[in-house]
Amino acid sequence: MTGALDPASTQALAISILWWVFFWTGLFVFAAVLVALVVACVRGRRRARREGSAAEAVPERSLEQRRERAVLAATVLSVVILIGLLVASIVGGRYIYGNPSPPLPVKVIAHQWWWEIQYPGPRSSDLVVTANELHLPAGRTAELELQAADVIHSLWIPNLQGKRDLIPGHTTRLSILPERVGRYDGHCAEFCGLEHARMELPVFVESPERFSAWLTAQRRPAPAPSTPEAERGARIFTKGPCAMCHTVTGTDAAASVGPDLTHVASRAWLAAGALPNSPRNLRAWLSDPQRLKPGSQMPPTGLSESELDDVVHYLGSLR
Amino acid sequence: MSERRRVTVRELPSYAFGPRDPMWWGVALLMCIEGTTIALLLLMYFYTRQRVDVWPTTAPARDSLYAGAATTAVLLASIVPTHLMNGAAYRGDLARIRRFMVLMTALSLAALGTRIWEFRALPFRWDTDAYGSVVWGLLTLQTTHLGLGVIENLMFVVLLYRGPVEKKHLVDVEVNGMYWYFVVGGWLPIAATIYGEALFR
Amino acid sequence: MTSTVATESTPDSRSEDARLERELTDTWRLCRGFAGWFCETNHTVIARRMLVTAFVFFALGGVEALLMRLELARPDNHFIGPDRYDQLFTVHGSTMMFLFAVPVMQAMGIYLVPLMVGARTVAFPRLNAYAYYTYLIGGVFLYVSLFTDTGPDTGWFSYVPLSGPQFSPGKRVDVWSQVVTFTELSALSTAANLIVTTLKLRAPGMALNRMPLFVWAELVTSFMVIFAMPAVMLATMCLALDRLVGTHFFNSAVGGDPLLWQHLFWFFGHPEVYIIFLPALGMVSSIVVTFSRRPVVGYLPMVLSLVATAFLGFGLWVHHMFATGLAELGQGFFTAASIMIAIPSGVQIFCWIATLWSGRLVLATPLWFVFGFVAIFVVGGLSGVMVASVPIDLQVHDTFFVVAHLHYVLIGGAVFPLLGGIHYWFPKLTGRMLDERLGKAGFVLTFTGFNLTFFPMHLLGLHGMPRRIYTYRAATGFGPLNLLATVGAFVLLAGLLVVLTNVVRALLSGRDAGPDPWQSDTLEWSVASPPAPYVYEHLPCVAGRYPLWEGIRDCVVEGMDPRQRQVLVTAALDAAPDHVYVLPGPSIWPLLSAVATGVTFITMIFTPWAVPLGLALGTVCLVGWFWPRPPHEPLLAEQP
Repeated sequence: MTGALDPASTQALAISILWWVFFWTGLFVFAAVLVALVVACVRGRRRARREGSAAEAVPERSLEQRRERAVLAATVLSVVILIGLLVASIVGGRYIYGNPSPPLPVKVIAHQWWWEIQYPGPRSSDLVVTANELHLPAGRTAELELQAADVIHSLWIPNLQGKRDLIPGHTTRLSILPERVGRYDGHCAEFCGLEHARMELPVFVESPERFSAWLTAQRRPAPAPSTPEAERGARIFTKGPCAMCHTVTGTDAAASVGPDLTHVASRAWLAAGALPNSPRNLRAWLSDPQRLKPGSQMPPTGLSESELDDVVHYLGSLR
Repeated sequence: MSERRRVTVRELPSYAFGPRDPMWWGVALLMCIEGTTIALLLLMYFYTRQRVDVWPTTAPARDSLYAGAATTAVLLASIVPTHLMNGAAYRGDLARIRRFMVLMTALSLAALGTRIWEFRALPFRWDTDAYGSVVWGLLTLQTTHLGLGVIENLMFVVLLYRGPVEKKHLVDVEVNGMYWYFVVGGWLPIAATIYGEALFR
Repeated sequence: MTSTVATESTPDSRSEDARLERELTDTWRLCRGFAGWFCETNHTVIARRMLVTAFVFFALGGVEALLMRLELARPDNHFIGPDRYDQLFTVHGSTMMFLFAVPVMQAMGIYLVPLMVGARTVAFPRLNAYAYYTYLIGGVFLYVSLFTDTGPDTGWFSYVPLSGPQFSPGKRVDVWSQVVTFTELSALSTAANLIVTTLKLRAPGMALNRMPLFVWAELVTSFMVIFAMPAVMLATMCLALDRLVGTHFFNSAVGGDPLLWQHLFWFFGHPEVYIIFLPALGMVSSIVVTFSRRPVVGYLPMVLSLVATAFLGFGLWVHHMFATGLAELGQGFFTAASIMIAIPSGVQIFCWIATLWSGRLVLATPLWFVFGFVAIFVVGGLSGVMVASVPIDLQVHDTFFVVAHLHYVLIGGAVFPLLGGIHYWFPKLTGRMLDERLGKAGFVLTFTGFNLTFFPMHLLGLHGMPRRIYTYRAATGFGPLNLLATVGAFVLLAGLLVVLTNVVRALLSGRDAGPDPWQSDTLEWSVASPPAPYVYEHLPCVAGRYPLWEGIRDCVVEGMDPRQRQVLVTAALDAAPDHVYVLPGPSIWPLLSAVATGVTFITMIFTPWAVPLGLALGTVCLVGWFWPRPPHEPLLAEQP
C-alpha cells in the first residue's frame, strides 16, 4: 500500500514528518493516561479492600489539595505539549505552500466523475487538454489551478500533497514539488455523487526529459487513421453520437462535455480509473458504460457490433 | 426519630414577574433562538455582499423605503402601549391592561399591513439572485415573528375580555410584552441593513 | 417563610403521610386507556418513550452500518451498489446524529434532571410531549423514505451544489432537510425545557455550586443547543427554499456561494459533537463518583471545563473546511482553537483519574464502561489534535482516518458512557437490576469489537482510502484491513446483543433494585425505583453536593398542596424558594400540534400551499394548547 506516509514530494514529506511528531507525542500521552488509570484502579481497589466501601462524603482537606495540585500539574503539562504541537503545526505548514520558481502551471477541472487536465503553453495553440491522467516532472514545482464544473470535488494524491477542494464559483490552488519518479494514486476525496468511488486520477511523476517528450507528443493533433477499420471508426466517431460530447483535435469532433480523447490510447486507464485501458475493456465500456460505472454521464452508444469494432480500432490508434 | 428541618412554602405567592417566572425564561430562550437566527441571516447577507461586485444588485426603490419606514414607525410606536401595558400588569389594573392590549394589537396588525406593502414594493423577487433571496429571507423571518406576535396578541384580547382573568395571567401579559419588544428589537437591525444600505449608498 | 422546627414522628404524622401519598397519587395519576397513551405528559413516561425510540433508531443505524461494512468487506464488491450505498451512509449518519445521539442524551436529561434537582417534573411537560412527537414523526418520515428506496443520498452534511436543485432532482434531499428541521425543533424545545427545569425547579438549597455534574453537563449542553441548532435550521430552510421555490442562497452563478452552506452547517455541526459528548461526560462523573465512593476531585474545574468546552466548541467549525483553501491566517486561529479544546477534556479526565486514585473502588459494570471510555476517548482526542493541524488535516480529511477518529470520539466518548449510564440508571428506570456477569461480558465484547472495527480505519485513511466510496479496486490493497473492520463490526454487534439480552432478561426476571442499589450520592436515588408519577412525596431540600451521603432525609419542604400539580419554583442562583407554580395536566394538544407541524413540513415538499395550511393549523393548535384551564387561582378583583 502507498499513501500519506510514503512521501514522494517536498510537501508530503513535510506533512509526514509532522504526522510522526504528532504520533509519537500522542502515543506518549496515551500511554501516560492509561498507566495512570491502571494505577488508580489498583490503588482504589486495594483501598476498598482495606477500608470497605462506605462513602466518604468529606475527604481530608490536605490530601484533597495534593490531588488538585496533581491535576493542575497534568494540565500544565498538557498545555505545554499542546503549544509545542501547535508550533510544530505552524512551522510544518510553511512547507506545504512554498514554491521555488518558475512553477509549471497546470489546470485541473473536476467533472462528475472525471478529471479534465490542461497544460497551458507559451502560445495558446500549445494548450494541451487531456483527461484522467496527471503527468508531472520531478524536481519542478507544479502549480495546480483547481476548478469544478458541477459539484464540489477534492483532489487528493496522498504521496504528493494534502487535498484541496474544487468548488464551483471558486478557484483554488495546490503546489506540488515531486521528488521521486513513479506512479501514484490520486482520488476524489469529497463526496460528489453516485460514482464518487470511481473518480480516480493516476499521477505519473517523470524525469524532466520524459515529461517534456510526453508533453510534446500530447501537443500534436490526433494521428490520421491508417487502416480501413480505423477510417470507418473515425467516420462513425465524428458523424455519430460520440462527437456530441468528445473532442479529438484535428477532426470535426470538438465538444467538451466529456473527456478529450485526442490521445486516449496513450492513457493507462479508462473512465477515471474504472478499468485498465485495453481494447477489450474499451469495447466493453463503449457497449455498456452504465454496467461498468453505473450513473456515469456516458450514455449507451447504441452502436452495432461491427461499428463498435471500428470505433475501438480508431480510438486504439489515438496514441 | 431524628429531627427534621422543614422549609415551609405555604405562604409563598402563586406567581411572580420577570426572571422569577419559568415562562419568562421559556420566552427568553425562544428569543435567544430566534435572535441567533436573525444574526445568522444578517451574517449571510454580509457574506454574500462581499462576494458580489455590485451590491445591492437591484436597489430597493423609493416605495420600498417608504414602506420600510412605515413599518419601523408603527413598530416603534407600539412600544409605548406595550410598556404601559406591562406597568398596568404589575399593578393588576385590568382596565388599563385591556386598553393598551387592544392598542398594541391594533398597531401589530397595522405593522402586518405595512409589511405586505413592503413585500409588494420590492423591485426584485426571491428568485432574482442571491441578494433577492437573502432580503426576502430576512423579511420573511421577521414577518413570521410578527405574525406569531399578532396571533398571540389577538388571543390575549379575547382572553382579557372573555375572562376569567386569573392573577397569573398578569405574568403572561408581561411575558407577551417582552416577546413584543423582541419583535420590534429584531426588526431594527434588519431594517437598517436592508434599507439603510440603499439609503446611504 | 423558612423555619426550622423539631418534630417527632408520631402515629399522627404517619397517617398524615398516607393521606398525602393518596392525594398525590390522585393528582398526578397517569392517563389510562388507549386515548390516555396520546395525552400523557408525565416526564418519566415521555423520557422512557424517547429512550426506547432513540435506541430503535440506534439499531436501525447499526444495521445500515453493517450493510456498508459488508459492501466494503472485499474489493470490487457489488453487494449493494452506489445508489443504495449512498442512501445508507446518508441515513446512517443522519440517524446516528439527529435521531439517536442528540435525542438519547436529551432523553436521559429529561428523565434524570428533574429527579436529580429534586423536582416533581419538568418545567413544561406539554412542550416535552410535543418535542417527543415531532422527533418521532421526523424519524419515521426518514425511514419511510429509506424503505421505499427514495432515501436521501447526499450525505448527512448534504453539501451544495450536490444537494441543490440541479444535481439532486427529486424529493430525496427535501426529505432530509425536513427531517433535520423536525429533529432540531424537537431538540430546541427539549433544551429550553431542560434549562428552565434546571434553573427554576431546583430543590431549596441546591445552589448552582451544589448541582450534580450531570445536571451541569445537561445545562451547558442545552445552552449549546439553543445557539447551535438555529444555524442548521436556517441552513436546511435555505436549502429547501433553493430547491422548492428557486431562491439562490447557495447558487454561485448568481451571487450565492456553496461555501456559505458549509459555514452554516459546521457552525452547527461542530458544536453538535459536544452537544452529544458533554452529557456523556456528565454520566461519567456520576458513575465515577458513585463507584469511587467519594466526591469528585475538582468540582469547580470540572464545571469550568464544561463551560469552556461549550465556548470553544463554537470557535472551531472551520477545521472541517481546511481543504477548501481559506486564508492561512484564519486557519492558524482555528488550529489553535481546535487544539486548545483538548485542554478542558484533559482536565476532566485528570480529575476522574484523581478521583479513582483516591477512592474505594467498586468495580461494577458501569465503571468498566467508564474505563473503556477513557481508553477509547483519549485515542479519539489525540487523533482530534492531529486533524486540528492544517497540514495533517489536509492529508487525512475526508478519509477513513476521519471515520476512525469520529467514531472513537462519538462511540468512545458518548456511546460507552451512555451504556455505562444505562447500566447505572437501569435500576432507577425499571426497578430491576441488570446482571453483572452479562454486563461485563457485554463490555468486553463491545470494547473488543469496537477497536477491531475502527482502529484499522486509521491505517486505511493514511494509506489513501477516501470516505464515502462504495467500493475500491483490489490493487489498492485496502482489502485485508477492510475485512478485519467488517469482522470487528460483527463482534461489536455481538457485544451490543449481549447488552440487549441483559436488558430483556432483567425486565422479565431481574432482581428487585430498591431505591438505592449503588449507595449513590444524588437525589434521584432517594425515591422509589421506578419513581412514582409525582416522584417526591415531600420535596427535598439540600445543603451540599452529595445529599444522600450527607443525610438528605433530614430536611423536607412542607406546605405544598397535594391536590394540585404544584411545583416549587426557586431562585435561579441560590435556589431559595420563590413561588409555587401549578402545571397543566395531560393534554392531547401536544400530539395534535406535532401532527400539524408534521403535516405542514411534509406538505411543504410538494406544494407552497403548505404555508397557509400550516398557518391555519398552527393557529388552531396555539388556541387549543393555551385554552384557559378551569381557574384554580385567585381571579383579578374586577371582572366583567
